[in-house]
Amino acid sequence: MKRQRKIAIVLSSVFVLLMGLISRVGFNLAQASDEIPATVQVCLPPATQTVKAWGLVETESESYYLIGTSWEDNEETIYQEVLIYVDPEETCRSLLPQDDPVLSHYIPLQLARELALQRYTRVLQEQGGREAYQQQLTDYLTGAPEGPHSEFPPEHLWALEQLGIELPPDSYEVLP
Amino acid sequence: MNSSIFRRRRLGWSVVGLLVFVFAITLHLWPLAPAHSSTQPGSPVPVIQDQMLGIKPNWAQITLRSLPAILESGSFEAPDDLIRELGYDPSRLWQAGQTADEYMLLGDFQDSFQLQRFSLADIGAVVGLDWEALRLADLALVSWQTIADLVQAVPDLADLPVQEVQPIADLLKGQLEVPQTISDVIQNEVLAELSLGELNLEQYDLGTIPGLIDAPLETFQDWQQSVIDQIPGLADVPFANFPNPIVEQGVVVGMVDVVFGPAEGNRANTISGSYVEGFNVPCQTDCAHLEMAQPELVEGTQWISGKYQQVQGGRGALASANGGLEPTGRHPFGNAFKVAVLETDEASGTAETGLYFRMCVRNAFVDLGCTPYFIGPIPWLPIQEEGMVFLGQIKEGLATTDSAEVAAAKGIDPQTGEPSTTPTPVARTSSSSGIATGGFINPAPGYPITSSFGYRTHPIHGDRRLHAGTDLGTPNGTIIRAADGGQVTFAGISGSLTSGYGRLVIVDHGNGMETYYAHLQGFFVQQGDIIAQGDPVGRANSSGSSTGPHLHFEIRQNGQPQNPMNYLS
Repeated sequence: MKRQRKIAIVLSSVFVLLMGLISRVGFNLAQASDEIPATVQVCLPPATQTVKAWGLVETESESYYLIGTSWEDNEETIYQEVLIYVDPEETCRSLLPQDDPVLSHYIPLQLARELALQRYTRVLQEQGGREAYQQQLTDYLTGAPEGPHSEFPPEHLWALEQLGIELPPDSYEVLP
Repeated sequence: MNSSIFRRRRLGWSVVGLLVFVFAITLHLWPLAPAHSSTQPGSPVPVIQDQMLGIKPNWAQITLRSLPAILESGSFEAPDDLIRELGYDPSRLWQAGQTADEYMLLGDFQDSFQLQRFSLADIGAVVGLDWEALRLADLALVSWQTIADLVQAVPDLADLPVQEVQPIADLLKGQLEVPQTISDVIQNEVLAELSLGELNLEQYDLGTIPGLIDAPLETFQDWQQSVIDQIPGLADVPFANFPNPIVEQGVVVGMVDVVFGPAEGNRANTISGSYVEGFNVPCQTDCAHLEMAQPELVEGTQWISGKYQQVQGGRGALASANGGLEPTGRHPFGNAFKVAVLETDEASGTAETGLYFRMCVRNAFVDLGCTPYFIGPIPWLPIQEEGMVFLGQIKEGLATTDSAEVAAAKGIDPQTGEPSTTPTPVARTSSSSGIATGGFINPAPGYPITSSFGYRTHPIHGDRRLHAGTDLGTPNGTIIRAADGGQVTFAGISGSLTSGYGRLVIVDHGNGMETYYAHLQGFFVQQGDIIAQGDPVGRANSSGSSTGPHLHFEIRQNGQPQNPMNYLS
């Protein structure tokens, strides 16, 4: 009897804990501007608090999501972009390792470029158009501290070029 | 007969043996004074014999409470516009006979001793506090905290139910709707601004506010206004235990040749003055002074009496206090106080000296600077002809923070202040960059990491950049110290004051290792200086590309940034 009560207490504690976690994640995701399918959410970094759906490319049976995720860590906001693959069985898989942001290392170049193009098209919309963003990006790249440069994946540079955005020479490096 | 003599002898030896035993035990148990420590006859403070600096104050035994009482009463009356600018009245009054802890405020020492970095727990660890006996009223600054202020100082309070923090629960009594948790309370603008000063704080012990004793004093609202003796135990902390402990500035010890009275005049070869006028202020009349004999560096120079000569002092809006004047003197122990020669007696060949404090007012919104050093005198070490007096820094070649070791490494004779022909190797003579220890210390210990080393992806531009260092959340003005000894290869602006590193110091430690200290306010070093581990290099600020005050600290090996946290001991 005593043992059953103990088990019941443990189970109910775990249940309360899980509910808390779920409600917290749910609440935080609800704060973000973008809706993310439930099948994708489980593949986001566990600490994720806000998300931004930058791009989606669908083939006949598969989907690729480019998602910006962020969370707080010791008063610092950490931002990371993830590439999520969803297979025909609706199972997701995160493709980008934390230390490699080059999409085309993990998916066909054409798909990587399409995702990058969607990303920067949205950036232009949100930042006030092509001219405004051109100025903003130029200021950012030329005002950078001395030392390590900005590094761009090649598909990002391709997308910026398609949108008519020019990067000041010698202000960045292309990731191999 | 013989046997009786033997018996008597045996008895005698037994008594002697017993006496020797008792003597040995007594000697063993007798508390011995620590070597070299003493109170010099006539000295108002404990002193110690230092191999390099001669007789010097024993900072391990001197506290703000144990400093001798101030000899003269005085006051500072703040003008109305200054009170309006500050939001409180910084006027102050001190009476002859009071000790420094009774009239000096935390804010007066925020740049020198940095006492604000202490928490009550830190102080208790040094002096031993009777926690059970202490009441909230004993920590005076509690009385001017609102609930919101308190949560800012002790963030964990926010998670607690109101009923678990009795003073806050009592403060909310009578409210129509009392929120459940303290975080709910501070969401309500009216409740958040309720002041703990409305309570009788005598009725609460310190434990009624969980986490209070662990909060650094600087996290409380208007901590600068707290009088030293209104912080339990702080008045009894030895100077040697301060967060930024007192250090001798420079290495020159002079021998006093002759003590002259005020009848002297026209002395130009002086070594006294102020930070404003420099330390070679000439004297025309009433030039009571000490004339120095040795070392050669100071031979024939005069330390003029501050009793008779006043010089310009202070900085900022407060510089006009006391008519903008302070006694002429020197700063052999840094900028917390000034040492002045007072009355001189030619007949006995002796002189009195005294300390002078100053007021400084700076908070997050306004920096009014500091008054001249005019709060004093506090009796200090007496001087006599042919006696030694610690002068500190004399030559430009010695930075104000140089230790004897660093002076030697710079090739400056610590006895004369003159360049020596062969620089004395201090450590690691194989290193071309001086005195690196090979280990790194935290350049701003106690401050949180606000951004760690590693790659960051920009949330808009989509590029990634290496955050090449560790950011520490240092408030403006925090003293930043060299992580290891070495040679300063850069001390200037990198980028501009609004872009890049801002004010930056780079130190070369040899073996391809360098450290970077960025976004500084100003420098204590210049290019070419050889500095020791722990020497101040500058003060924290937000210069360059920075969104707020912090230190950006880098360690590089052969030019490549490394994660500092893998190196700090």
